[in-house]
Amino acid sequence: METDVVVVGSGGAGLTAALSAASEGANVVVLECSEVYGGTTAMSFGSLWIPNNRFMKEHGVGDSREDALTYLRRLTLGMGDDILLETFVDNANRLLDLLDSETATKWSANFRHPDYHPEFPGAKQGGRTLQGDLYDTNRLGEYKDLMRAGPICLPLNKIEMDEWGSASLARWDFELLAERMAAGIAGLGRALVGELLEACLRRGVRLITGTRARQLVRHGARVIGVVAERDGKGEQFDARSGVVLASGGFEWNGKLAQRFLGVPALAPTSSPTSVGDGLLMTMEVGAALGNMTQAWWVPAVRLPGELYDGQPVHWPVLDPRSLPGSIMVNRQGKRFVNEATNYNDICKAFVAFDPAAYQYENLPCFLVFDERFRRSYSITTLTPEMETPSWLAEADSLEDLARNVGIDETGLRWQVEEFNRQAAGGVDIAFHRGESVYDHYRGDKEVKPNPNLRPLGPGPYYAVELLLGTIGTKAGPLTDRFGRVLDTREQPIPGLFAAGNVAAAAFGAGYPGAGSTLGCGMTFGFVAGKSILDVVPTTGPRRHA
Amino acid sequence: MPEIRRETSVPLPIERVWDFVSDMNNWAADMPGYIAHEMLSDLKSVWRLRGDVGILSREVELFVNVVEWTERSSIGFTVKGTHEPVSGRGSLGIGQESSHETRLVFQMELEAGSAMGPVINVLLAKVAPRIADDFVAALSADMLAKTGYTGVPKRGKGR
Repeated sequence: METDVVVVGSGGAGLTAALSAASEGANVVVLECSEVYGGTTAMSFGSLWIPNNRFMKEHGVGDSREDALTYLRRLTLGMGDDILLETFVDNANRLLDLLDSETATKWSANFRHPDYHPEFPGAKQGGRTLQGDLYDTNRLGEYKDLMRAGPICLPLNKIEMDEWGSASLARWDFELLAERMAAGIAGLGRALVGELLEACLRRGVRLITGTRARQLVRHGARVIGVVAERDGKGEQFDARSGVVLASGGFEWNGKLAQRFLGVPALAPTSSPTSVGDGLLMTMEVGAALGNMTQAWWVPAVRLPGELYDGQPVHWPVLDPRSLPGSIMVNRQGKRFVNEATNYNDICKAFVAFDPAAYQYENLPCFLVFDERFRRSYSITTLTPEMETPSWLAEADSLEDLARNVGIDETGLRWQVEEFNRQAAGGVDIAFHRGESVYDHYRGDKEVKPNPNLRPLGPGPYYAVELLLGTIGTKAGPLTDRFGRVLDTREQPIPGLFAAGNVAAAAFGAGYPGAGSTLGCGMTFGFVAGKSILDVVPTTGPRRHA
Repeated sequence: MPEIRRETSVPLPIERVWDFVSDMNNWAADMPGYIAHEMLSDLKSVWRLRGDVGILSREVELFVNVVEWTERSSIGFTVKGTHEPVSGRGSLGIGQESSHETRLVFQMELEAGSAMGPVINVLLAKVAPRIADDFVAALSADMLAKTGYTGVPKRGKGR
């Protein structure tokens, strides 16, 4: 088969690249390795981090190109590629323009959701995270049942989730959600994928499932297509303009994860299709690699016996760490970080290495909480009124709990007493929990004086092990400001582009705010889709200046 | 979840069908997702199944209690999750169609409780028809195989 552009992967970055190219009149083919579209995007909350967006202007919330760059430079510790950061900042709103003109998505800015380091220069306390609305999957016709559905695929939008409160699922309107589900309404990441799929189909993009791209085809130095496995046979897809790789990361490939990330066992929460196909293909053609020790991290919980797509399910743990009545401890029973820290950066504390003991001092780590917490908030899908399952350790005393899960009893008892002494006054001298607006966003506003803190009360007590999880690696081939993959001499490999988690992320080790993965991936997907046709994305008037 | 009903015919006399279905140990493994079961008494048993609602599969433990037993006619039972908030009821009924053909009717309804119950019930309603189809097909084939039948079983029907 021959076409203008071949896109590998049908997550947010891939579908955006396809739409971006198709909107310029290109013939595009999207190859998806699994039987369903959407990748990790369909399993996500579907948010986009878009700094200096028009919603902020409309609401009189100040932002600027310079503020965004200042914040990103701080997050990347001055080690980021400034050209890529500028490319992101200069094109994120052009991405939004494309989505406005090609899809029916109604975006809203979430003014409650602060950047993940609101204390940094250039950060904002709300407004940069955009969230879409619900989507009627019946609009997709025969493609309706071909969208990936993940464990978190409820038909609501993120603004609703914030209004209902994500602290406890028991407060949600599940009757309404059931009605929507029965009617084929999708929310969160699935809604975003639905809109992108519909737009791609409208533009004549050809979408093919069950087709796993395994090798790039070259003519001289130029990439001219891919060979993919389909129905047990190899098939070549030729691309006159080039190939965009958007096949996700390598977090589900144990060997690659161990080789590059250099961390102990990983608990991916993403689509099990992220096995590093794109990384391997680019390595074969001599791509330069970057960010290889980095991922979009998240603490996770594994519920024994649960499977998704044949793989263990790892549930991201977002709010419970920040809610009052809980602490997080290592095997010595000691706290080691502000539990309310954003999910990406808290994981960096998980992998602190003790050179004297020669081990990761904070793994394993445990979320420990009291009975009042258990009966107030949810953990994964466990709601307060449900019977306690076997995966959640329960004991009448802290000592018994510690003994059950392998925490030092004396250490835990001391830690809880110390924590409680300060929490009674709403303070955390060691780690400053509850002092940041970000902490408060994930706290319980009903609890005073500190929405993230109170002393642990009487038992029973509970503990669950938190794992080092990831929503995707952000490591891979280096790309330039046009989305072109660079070789080891940092020259573009002709005909080869990459966007999303398959590539080395512009944000380096940083995670600016909710929607960073999609904001970054889809912006560079937009750029790649234009550049591959030699259309320069940064020229021309913007629809919303 | 609305009640699911599946009906099929097996080319066996009613006595042999009854002998087969009246002993749960003969057909337990035909239940989709079957992992294990343990008879606690003649009427009570605990089953471990891999419950699959499409987006997630999980091991669940169900307590099954036979509440109706009519010789050569039907077995009715209730189902309750030992840890999961799920409950329901079902029945396996047989009827003579001829001296060498027996009708088999399987009925089941299952309901999830807890706050998330309404959403889980929507998912159950989507997967239940397939589970019922697979169970009845496996049960029929197993019955025929274990009774030495060598012909082609008829297709079932249901709602």
